[in-house]
Amino acid sequence: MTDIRDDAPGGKPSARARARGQIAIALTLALLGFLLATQLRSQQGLTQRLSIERESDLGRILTELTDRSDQLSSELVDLRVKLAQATGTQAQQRALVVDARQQLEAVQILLGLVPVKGPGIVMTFDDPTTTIGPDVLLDTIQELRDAGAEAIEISGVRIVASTAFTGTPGALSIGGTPVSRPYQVTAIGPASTLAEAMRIPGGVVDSLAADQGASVRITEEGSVSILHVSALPKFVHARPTTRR
Amino acid sequence: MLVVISLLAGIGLGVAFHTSVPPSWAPYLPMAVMAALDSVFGGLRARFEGTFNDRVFVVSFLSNAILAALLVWAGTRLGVQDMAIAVVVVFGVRIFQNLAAIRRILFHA
Repeated sequence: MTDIRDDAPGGKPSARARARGQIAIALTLALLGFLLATQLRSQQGLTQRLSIERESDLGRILTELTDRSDQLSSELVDLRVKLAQATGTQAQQRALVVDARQQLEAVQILLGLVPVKGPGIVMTFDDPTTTIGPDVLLDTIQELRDAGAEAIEISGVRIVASTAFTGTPGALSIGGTPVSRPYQVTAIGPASTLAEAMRIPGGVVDSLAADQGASVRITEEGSVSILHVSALPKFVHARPTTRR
Repeated sequence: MLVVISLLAGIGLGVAFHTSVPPSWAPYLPMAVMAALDSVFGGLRARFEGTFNDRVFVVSFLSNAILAALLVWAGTRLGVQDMAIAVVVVFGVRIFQNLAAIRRILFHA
């Protein structure tokens, strides 16, 4: 380490050099003062608090601190237990979330809230003599559902649980929306099964042909899209209830 | 005079700004302060003996403080936890020696 007394002063320094030296010393000492004050402050808090207390008070502080320490360690144990429980239930919760997501998806498709895509069939009902009434469309839907159709759309109207078929031949309404001829039915499901279900003897195609005039064209597609969505129904009267 | 004023100014600054010591610095600042105090008393002694040199004073002040802190830091790094005691002893002895020298010059005793 540098020793102060090693250096004897050199020749007579100039006034400017001396002033600079003075400033350097002043800055150094200011730094010392700053360091001292900072260090003293940081120590002051602790020493001051401990020195003004009497022995009995110190004993009390010690007990308090010990109690606090005990309390904190028991809290630590509690929290560890909770952590273990939480990590245990986390896997369970993740399974629940996956489950809930699958349920949501199913309900969304069922209610026609989301566009869907998949293998299926596209049918066109030509009806030049206006013989097709709401009953025919309803039968078609029933047959399609029986054959495993998962999503159905007729002439731009998504068929959901609450869809009603009304009107007379030539002026049909599906779910309150008027539709015009020719009616185009798109169904997503096992394509060949759906097509077969339409063509079985006594089925939709058969009975329409018997009704003379109307005809049906069926094409199976590897991928069809049902892009129309229906609005989320508002339930006014029905309320969920717990099973008793 | 300037010396006293700047010392007071430094203390004033330290009090005015509630500079809290970062916890990681806590072990090293006292060492730096010890070294700085040693330099100041050394400088005082040199002044009384007529060998004072401002350049030496400033350089030794800074280097002593930094070296002391570095030494303690290196000590903790090497696993020598008690390096601080060594620094305290060394600077304590030096401060005592310097003070004794100053006393001898001032009171001729």
